[in-house]
Amino acid sequence: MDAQDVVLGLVVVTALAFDFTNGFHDTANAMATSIATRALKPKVAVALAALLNFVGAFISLKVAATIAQDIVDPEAITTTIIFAGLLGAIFWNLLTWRLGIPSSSSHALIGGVVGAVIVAAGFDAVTIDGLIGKVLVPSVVAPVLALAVAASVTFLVYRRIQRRDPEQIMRSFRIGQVASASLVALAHGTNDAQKTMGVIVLALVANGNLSSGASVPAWVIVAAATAISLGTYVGGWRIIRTLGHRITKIETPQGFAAETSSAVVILAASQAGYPLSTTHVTSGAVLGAGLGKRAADVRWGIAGQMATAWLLTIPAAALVAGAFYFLTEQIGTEIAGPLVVSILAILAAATLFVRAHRSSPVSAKDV
Amino acid sequence: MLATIVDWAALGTVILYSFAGALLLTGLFTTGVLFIEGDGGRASPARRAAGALCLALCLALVAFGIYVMFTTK
Repeated sequence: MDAQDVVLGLVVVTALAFDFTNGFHDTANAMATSIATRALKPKVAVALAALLNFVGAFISLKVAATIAQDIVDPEAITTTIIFAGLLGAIFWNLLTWRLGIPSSSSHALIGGVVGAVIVAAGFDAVTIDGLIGKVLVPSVVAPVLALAVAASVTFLVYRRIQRRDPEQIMRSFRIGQVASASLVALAHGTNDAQKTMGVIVLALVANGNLSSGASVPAWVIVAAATAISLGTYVGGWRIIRTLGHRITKIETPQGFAAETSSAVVILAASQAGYPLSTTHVTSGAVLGAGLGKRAADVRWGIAGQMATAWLLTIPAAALVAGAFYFLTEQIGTEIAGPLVVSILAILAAATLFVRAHRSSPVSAKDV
Repeated sequence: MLATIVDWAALGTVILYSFAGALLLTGLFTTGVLFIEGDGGRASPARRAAGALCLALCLALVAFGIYVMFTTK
């Protein structure tokens, strides 16, 4: 085993760590409203989401072979850039988890890669048109569209059921809510596990272990599916609490409307080949479900915090990844740099975790 | 500048499918539930059959959604 293989191993482990944080960060997307309305018990909800994410990882037929496609010059991407980009994305995921704010893991990864590429090859290696067209515009479209769809659907559902005894129909709506939430979880698995597979395949190709265009090795699919589903099962309770309780008080028909709207918007975007973040869609749909019900209380302060986090995702992940890339390069890209930076990153992440659990623990009991 | 960068055709399709799909799915489900549950008493066989048809169409739409997941990426 030479130095390159050790660096490749570090990249693979870092990619799986990112996949894990992606899972626990995004559990809320599918299950927050089902937990909030008690359609499912918290532990059952995260177990179901984990299972569907695992299954979803095997469903997709085509793996995203490149990360940040059309956003950075593919010739500029190296193993060290991927490594630093992943670390930037992980740290943004952990920070937003600590604050209980839902934010896009895909955007964090893109931001991380962009930051590392800028430090490595300069601004010329970034395609601004791609960044605007594939990331920035969709990040505005996703929450606004999901909000509008969910608000319309919620309004119409409440108009239809207003004269009925709520207790009589709630059981059916709970079933509908769980079904639509399951569809969101499945879609999440098909989208997000593929990113990690793409990153690992890219590193394997760059290291010469795999020829370009080769099919994804089975161990990569199983490892990525396992990492994202384990992360989902751990459950990002802080973000679940924010989406399920802090934006608006969710009732079962609202949860049904929000999850159905999310599932349909995500699938429509998939069908049209238009990239939308699952997190942006589900967060917008929860807001819409709040707006669509007459006299419902939407906390715009929390929504504002979320929007701010979305604006900061790419620059913040880019900044952290750029710093990690610079540090790795200074120490040495052979083996010492990635090894030292990995140890520093693990220590920083562990400190963040421990401090979060000591100062303000949030568990399944709190959602 | 945005006119050339943004894929307006794809965006239009997403908006159209999203509204149509979500309204159709929730409309069918809500109608199905209300027909089957009845209003105060037990629903008539005709209403129960209509409700079951609405829910079956809902299931068909969900199955189509899963098919979309399988075939597009």
